[in-house]
Amino acid sequence: MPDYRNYSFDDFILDDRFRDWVLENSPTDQAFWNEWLQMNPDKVDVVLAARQFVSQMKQVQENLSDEELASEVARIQINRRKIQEPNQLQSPKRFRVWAQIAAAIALIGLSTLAFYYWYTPTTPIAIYQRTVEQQAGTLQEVENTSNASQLVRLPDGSKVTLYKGSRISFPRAFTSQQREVFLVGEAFFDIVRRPKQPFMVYTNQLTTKVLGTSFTVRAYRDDKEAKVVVRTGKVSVFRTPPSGKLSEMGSNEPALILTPNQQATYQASDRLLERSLVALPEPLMNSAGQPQTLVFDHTPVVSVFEKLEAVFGIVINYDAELLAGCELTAEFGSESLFEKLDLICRATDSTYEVIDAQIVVHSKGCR
Amino acid sequence: MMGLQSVPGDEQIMAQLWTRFKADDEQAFDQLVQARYRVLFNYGTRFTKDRDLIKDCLQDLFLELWNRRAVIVETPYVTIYLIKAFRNNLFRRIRRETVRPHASEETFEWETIPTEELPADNQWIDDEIVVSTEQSLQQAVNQLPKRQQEVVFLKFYQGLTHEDIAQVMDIEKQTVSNFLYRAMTQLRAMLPVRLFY
Repeated sequence: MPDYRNYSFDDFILDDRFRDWVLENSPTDQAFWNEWLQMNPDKVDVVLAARQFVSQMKQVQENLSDEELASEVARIQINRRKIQEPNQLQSPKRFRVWAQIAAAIALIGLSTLAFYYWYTPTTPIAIYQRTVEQQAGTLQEVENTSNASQLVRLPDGSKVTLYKGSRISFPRAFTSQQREVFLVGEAFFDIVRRPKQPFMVYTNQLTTKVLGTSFTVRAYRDDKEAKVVVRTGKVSVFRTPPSGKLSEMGSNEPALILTPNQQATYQASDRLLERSLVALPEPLMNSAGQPQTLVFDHTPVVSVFEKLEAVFGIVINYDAELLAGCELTAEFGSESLFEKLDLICRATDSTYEVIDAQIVVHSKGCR
Repeated sequence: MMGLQSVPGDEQIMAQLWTRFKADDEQAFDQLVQARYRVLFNYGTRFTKDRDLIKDCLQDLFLELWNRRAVIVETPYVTIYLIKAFRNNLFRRIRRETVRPHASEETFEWETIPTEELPADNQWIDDEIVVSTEQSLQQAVNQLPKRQQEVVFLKFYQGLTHEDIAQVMDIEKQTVSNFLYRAMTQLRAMLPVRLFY
């Protein structure tokens, strides 16, 4: 047994026993290292750093999804049976292979039929159903039939608030490359950040892709409108292609990128995806938590706008030169963003409008 | 003790599967494929970004093993055996498919693996958030010279001993240490200090 007390970071990450503890975590290793750490509290930092390094080094070199693994292993199995067959002359086995081939052909035929059947984009829930059918057994489905919202925990620790009458499906374990869920109805997502493993929400019309953030997706099956609303972070939203081919997603579809207090709305009638501000923009989470009071005393309006941009995470367009002479004295509390803007505009004799999720201020300037 | 050290826990199971599959046990063979496909595939991505090529090569390798099960050797080091066999096959295949027929293994310029795995439409995401340690670590590893990448993979993904790595790559044990040392030095230079200690 080496004397681990003299071990450096590099020694730890190269040590087999240490590695086994991090990656396998057998009870024996666990007991050993817990005890060792208790006896050597000054080594906790280096051990934790080395642990993190070892586990990340394993993760970053992982390039195969569970689906790919399953399909390749199955391919080897099938090919093995094929080469094996000519050597075995018992007819029952041979029959089995022919039966398999026949079944495969029938399956291809059926799925082609099914594909064209579901292909019609007017079938509102085609993709969802097809996906659930395809992945039957590996997907877990939660339907909220109660009268209240229901909290659903995903395998990665992310939280979903599922509104009543909605349902969500997700794999029992996410693949290493993607986290995919399928939604009908409305839900608020609070997603654990994992940049290597994007989180995708598929609905019939819209697909939302994020790394880690919180947002609401609304896509009821009979609604003419689907919506994605962002609370924190950034998400990209694009139309779900009619083929529903998940792998082709996002490569050629133009995506809308949404930041907090923005929403994407999809109208089934004209199939247009539009970005706008939410009706009641809320101050960003990270601005100290509490609803801030903003106090302005003879403050240049330009600074006021800058402050509002920061607090609400939005963009306000204005002519800084024109507004150079405008000042504001006011104390803002819990008014909504639009009420605040109304007040500012009244005080400075300006107007504003919302264009493509941005505020545009029109002013004649102050003297 | 010395001998056992290079045969990690599940290697004993692999050795049993190996013996059974040599005796025509199909189930044992399928289990072996299932258990070792992943490490071999990921190892392959250190040499080429052509995933289909890696997959085809693995298909061939396993089918050949099955076909020749009566004559292949008994070994307690199944994983190393597979890694080595796969490495040879893959090198041969890559060399055949390249337009530079004269390249030898040492001077061969392996196809570079993209440093960024995510497709371009994800670019905004990178700009948005401070690049995570995991992502930057991945980029840093992918920027290492190919031979160092290979050592780093065998060491940190599969946890092989220096001896085993030397055997797989057909180099001296000291060279393995040198590669690892250089790789760590370069990773330190490329990555934020807080990743290390």
